[in-house]
Amino acid sequence: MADHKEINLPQSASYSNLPEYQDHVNQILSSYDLPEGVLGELVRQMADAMWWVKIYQKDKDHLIVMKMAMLVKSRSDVGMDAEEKALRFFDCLLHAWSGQELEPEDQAFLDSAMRSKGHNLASLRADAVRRSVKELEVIDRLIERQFKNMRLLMQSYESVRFAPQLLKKMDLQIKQLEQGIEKNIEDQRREVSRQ
Amino acid sequence: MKISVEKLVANRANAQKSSGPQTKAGKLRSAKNALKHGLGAQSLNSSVNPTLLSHFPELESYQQELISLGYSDAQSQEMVEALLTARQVTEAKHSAYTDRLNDERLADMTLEGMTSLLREFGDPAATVTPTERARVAALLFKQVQKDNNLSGLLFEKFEAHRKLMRYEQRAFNQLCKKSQVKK
Repeated sequence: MADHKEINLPQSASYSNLPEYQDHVNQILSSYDLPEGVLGELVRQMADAMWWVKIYQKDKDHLIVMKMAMLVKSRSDVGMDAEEKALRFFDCLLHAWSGQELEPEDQAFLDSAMRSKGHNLASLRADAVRRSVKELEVIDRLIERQFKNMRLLMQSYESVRFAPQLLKKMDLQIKQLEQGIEKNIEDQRREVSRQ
Repeated sequence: MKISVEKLVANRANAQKSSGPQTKAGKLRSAKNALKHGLGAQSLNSSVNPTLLSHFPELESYQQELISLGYSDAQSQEMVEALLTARQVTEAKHSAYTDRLNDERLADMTLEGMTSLLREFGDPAATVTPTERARVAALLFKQVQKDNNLSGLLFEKFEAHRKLMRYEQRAFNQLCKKSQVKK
């Protein structure tokens, strides 16, 4: 996250410039034997769709955790302190939910905040998910769109890759049809001349 | 730093005094103010835009490659257009998935705080009625809440991608369709 932003949201922007993104694309390209030209372009697009699936899934989880943080934050909390408090909740909840051990101080901070709202970790998460159903539906649709994109790109890849063979096959089929028609015409001529 | 309400109101008031761009270049520039990503632009669907092609020079060599694979001139042209559109969608997705800068957010405050601030703000001679003041305060407060809802701010990125989804669907469907070999 860049320093000029006060909200320490989990992901930074402009993924295409990130080394992780470049590594991911290169890894996918290697698995396809490093294609170049049009095929390379199609594989890069496929890698991009795969990347978004990963990002959406990660950010979907962050969205739920942020919702949890906003639920335990007191309504009377206003201003920058409130934001810092919410971000501290976010960090603690993210660690706690992923099974990591918290510092005793953070654990106490989290426990007291959840207790004040009558929640435990599981019930807080359930409440956050219940309140984010619409948002989660949008994210699921975005993930589904990426899978559809991947399928379409795979079809395009196959079409381009096998284009020369397909064209050769079609050419042979056309020649075969032409020969069949020529043979028919010849047979008809012979029949007419015989009569 | 988040923008203060005083600064925002002053900026808006000063903007009202502007008579707009005067020069031809300025008018041309401001004509593009509402342009977001250009994915819905007609020029993209009719023929390859040379300006756009100059941003993606490798796409031109793809056309030659497709012709050498057996695609016709027209088909290869269509395929390059489809690749270009797909690439633009990808780039638009990358630039749209960004966190909002704090300069674009209003500082957090209560409705009461907002109303008292507005009471203090402005020319004492201004004839603003309490009802009008309350309406402005309510509007600003709505924006304050939106700008300080952290889960909402996180979702804004997804929302930006949701808006691009129809362009994405069209671009990849076209790409698949145009890549099929025709005789």
